[in-house]
Amino acid sequence: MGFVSTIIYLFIVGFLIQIWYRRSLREKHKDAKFLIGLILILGIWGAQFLIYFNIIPLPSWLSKVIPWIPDQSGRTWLWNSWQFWEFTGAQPALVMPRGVGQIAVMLVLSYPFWYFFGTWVAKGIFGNKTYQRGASWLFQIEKGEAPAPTLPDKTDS
Amino acid sequence: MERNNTRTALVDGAHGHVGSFLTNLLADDGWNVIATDLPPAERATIATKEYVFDIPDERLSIERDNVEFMPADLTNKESLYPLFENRRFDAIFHPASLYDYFAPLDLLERINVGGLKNLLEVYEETSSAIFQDPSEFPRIVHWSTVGVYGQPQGQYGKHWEHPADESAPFNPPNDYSVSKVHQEELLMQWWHEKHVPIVIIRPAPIYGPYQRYGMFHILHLIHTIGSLPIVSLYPSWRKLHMPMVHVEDVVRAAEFLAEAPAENVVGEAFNIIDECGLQEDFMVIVARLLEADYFNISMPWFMYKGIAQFGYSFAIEQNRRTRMQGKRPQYDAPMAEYLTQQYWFSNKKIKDLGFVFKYPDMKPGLESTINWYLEHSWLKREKWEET
Repeated sequence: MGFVSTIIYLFIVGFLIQIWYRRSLREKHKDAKFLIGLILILGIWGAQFLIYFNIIPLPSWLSKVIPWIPDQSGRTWLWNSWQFWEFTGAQPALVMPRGVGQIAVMLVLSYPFWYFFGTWVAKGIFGNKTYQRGASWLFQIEKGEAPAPTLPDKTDS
Repeated sequence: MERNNTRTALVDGAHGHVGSFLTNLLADDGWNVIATDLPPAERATIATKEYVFDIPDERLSIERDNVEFMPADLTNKESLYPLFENRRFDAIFHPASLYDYFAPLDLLERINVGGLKNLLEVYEETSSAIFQDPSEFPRIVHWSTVGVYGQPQGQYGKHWEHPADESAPFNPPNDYSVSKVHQEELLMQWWHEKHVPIVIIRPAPIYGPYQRYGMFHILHLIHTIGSLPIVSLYPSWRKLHMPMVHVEDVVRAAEFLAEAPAENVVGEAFNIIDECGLQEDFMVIVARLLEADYFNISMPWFMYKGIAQFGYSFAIEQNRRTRMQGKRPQYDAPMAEYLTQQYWFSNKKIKDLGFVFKYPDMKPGLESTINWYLEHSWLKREKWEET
């Protein structure tokens, strides 16, 4: 996961976690969504720190397993992790990690926002509290079970 | 024949929301009340609107010392005679009605108009045996609706500078309101031709504890969705009003009009409505009370109307599909008419007679009503909130 792709993944994960949270997690632990996000983001920050400073040589490991990923520094990989998706035919321009350190810091610091933005969007669509159903409820409200009104059979008028 | 100094009233639809509150108010105020309604099993086949949600079947009890319940069916004229036998009423309150936006017009006409006609005929027949002059007959307080006006236009300023009063022409937007117009026409015919004392009240959508159709649906919808946009419309004269009235004010107004001097009220209609705040204020109050998320957006009228019209069409299609399945939807499409129509009505006429609303502002009434729904589990709460 690179600086940019992590943002996309966190949004998607936040979205999915929110659905899971409303359906069952919230009933078990009210703060589950927050705790999962905290652990996830701390984990990503830690992993990217280790990759950035080549403490974990992730690109080298990946280059041995995935043939189209070249061996490179962790810093380069974090800007170019889209290489993983090259098998799909995508070939965006290579970003050289020079003079973009401040942008990297801003991106990394924005991770919590993207996770919670994903949960916020899903909250609007599927609800947050255990009894809520979100805007998707509007597409289910025709599912009534009560019959249409009629006069009682015995009525004589 | 029963006759003493205590006033006696007939209340039909007494197991309904308004009827039960009215019966209790009159009982509290020392009236003897003959309360009538369909037997519960028969009522359930008509009032299917009350069973669309999984909520407790909880009703305000009308079992009181000075209340006698006698079952009757307005569509069956013969069943009405025992109500009047050996009794001399001081007032007849007629809240009974099929208030159901999903019901077909023929059923609405049969119950609301046909039922009223039966009631009037039995009332005239039995009252004529007691009183010589029809003006001495017991006063009938009849329940209509502000829905008879539809969206009032024309005489209230180009840009709705003023709320519509009781002189607004009828323009009913749905079948239920059409049946209420026909009821009023029948009553006014009796007033003009037979001079029987009739008072018509036109309540706005009623809210309050135990209310399970109409305003409850709006609260239920917001509670279930959990988040909503609050649209601030511009130009500002396009901001939509929220007509509503607390059930306690409706029944208090009915009793007030039953006792008011005849020259002030008989043959007249009265809007029963609070100060008619704005829809966007209503949404904010409700969202806060229900702890739903909300966000404000400003929108020009034409854009809002397009979106709302799409939503209304969608609701109509959902209703049609549900009807084809022989069932009824949880939310009836005409309820969505409030999204685009300017329903702004005046309560000046009844206030000028001295009536004072207990809930002129929506906020305290909504607060107590929503708290009641939450405490009685009509609106769900999370398990840790249910203590």
